[in-house]
Amino acid sequence: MKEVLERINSISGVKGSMVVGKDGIIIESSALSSVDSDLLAAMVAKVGKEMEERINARKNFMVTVNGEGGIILFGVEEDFILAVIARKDANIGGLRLEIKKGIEKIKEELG
Amino acid sequence: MTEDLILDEKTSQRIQHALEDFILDTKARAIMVMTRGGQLIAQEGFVEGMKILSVAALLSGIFNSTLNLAKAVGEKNFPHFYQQGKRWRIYYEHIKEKFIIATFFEESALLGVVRVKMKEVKEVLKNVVEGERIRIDWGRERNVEDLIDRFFRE
Repeated sequence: MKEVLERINSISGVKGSMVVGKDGIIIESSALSSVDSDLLAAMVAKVGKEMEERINARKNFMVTVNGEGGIILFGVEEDFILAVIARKDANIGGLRLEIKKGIEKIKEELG
Repeated sequence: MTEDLILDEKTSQRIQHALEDFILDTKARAIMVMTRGGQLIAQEGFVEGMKILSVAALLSGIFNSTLNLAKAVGEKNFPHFYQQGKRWRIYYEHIKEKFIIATFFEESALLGVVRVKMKEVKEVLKNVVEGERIRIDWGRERNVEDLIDRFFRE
């Protein structure tokens, strides 16, 4: 899991990444301060849950949040969420692809 | 330890607003603030069939025994406490070992969100505790006789 996050973090423009449980508790985090991590974990879990409940989103979906200072991308799976914080100038297409690959690896790891 | 706690109206309102925000943001069913001795300071939300004063007293007991457990294993304290049952989850934190904030929630609320929002409530309470608008007399003994005496004095 740590390897997956480090690989994502090595992409230009990425500030940090994490794997979060569906209850908003961090499973693994890389290159993020603890304050940022807790807040980000809670936010992505909340958004993921709302999307599942309110718009009947399927389990495997990806969300992009655009902010003034950067972007947050996260993929929601049945048991976990893979979230990434990046600068606005990061290669979003490449990053999405890497998140998808990362999700598959984590799924394998979790069995 | 016994306590005598006096809050002015403005302070009470401030705490109450923080608790209301917490319930709205987290979807938790109830939150309560109490002293280490089990005196309920504020609460928001409602859990059907729950006797709030009994729960506050029990939580205070759990907190104190957990504190002793922490010391027995060489920790200063255990700042977080989480219990999960079939339906209910209980999460609490303390402020400087003097106050306890406890929340009750179901699966619809997320523990991660509860923890983040709890930090905000703690900040409000920390400011209140450190401010001059609160007066705490931790030293005075309280027992049934004292309470009866006080009742007749007033």
